[in-house]
Amino acid sequence: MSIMSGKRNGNRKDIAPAVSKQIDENLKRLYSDAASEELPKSLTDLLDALRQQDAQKKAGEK
Amino acid sequence: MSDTPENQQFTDPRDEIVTHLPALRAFARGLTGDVSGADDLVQETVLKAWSKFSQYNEGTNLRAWLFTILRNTYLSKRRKQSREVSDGEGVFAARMASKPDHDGRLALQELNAAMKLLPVEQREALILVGAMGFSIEEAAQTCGCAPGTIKSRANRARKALVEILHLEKGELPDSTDKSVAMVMAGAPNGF
Repeated sequence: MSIMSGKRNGNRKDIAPAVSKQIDENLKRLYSDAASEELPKSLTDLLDALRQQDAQKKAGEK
Repeated sequence: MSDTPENQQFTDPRDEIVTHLPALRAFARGLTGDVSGADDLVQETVLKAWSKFSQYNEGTNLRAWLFTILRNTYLSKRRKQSREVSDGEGVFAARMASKPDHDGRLALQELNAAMKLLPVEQREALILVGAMGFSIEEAAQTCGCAPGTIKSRANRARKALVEILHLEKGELPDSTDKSVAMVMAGAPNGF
């Protein structure tokens, strides 16, 4: 198999637009969970901590 | 436009970053292929972004800026890891026959496994353009390459997936698949 080599002769032929659309739609499904889930607490905690740090720094400068 | 340090006419990127986190997580999942690795990557990205916000030009594309940090972080981690681990994993999972199921969807785990087999530059191009809805130009900006390069990488990635997953012509379901359309309709804006 020469999947990655790209050397095969017929390889320049484009895949059908319907096939490529289908791939994209399935990829969207694959990643849509991550995009619609609530953010994990670890991440929101991190943002809070960073904001707090900034606020403290600002307060210290004044 | 002149630089006015105290101007507030643009949203502070420290506030705006939250709105990009869901998409960053999705991109990270696409790159790493796993959930916990993806969230670690997003955390690192947030930390780096925070320390670099002074270098960010307000009013420019924050999403592309953040995505660039994430991909660069991923690539440098990967470079380090590749010296330690060889990648045999994933191949078997992806080689399993992948047939669309009864309502015509591909098995997502197999698609995920197949994505992992692609060279990273093809994978990122396809995720950005195919799944995340980036324009070719925005993806090019994110990856630091020419628009034509993004286009051909995304196309090569699709072709490779067709081969890996044995998606022969006519094997794929109708692209107007109802359930897919429903999922798409429910996808958040800006994804």
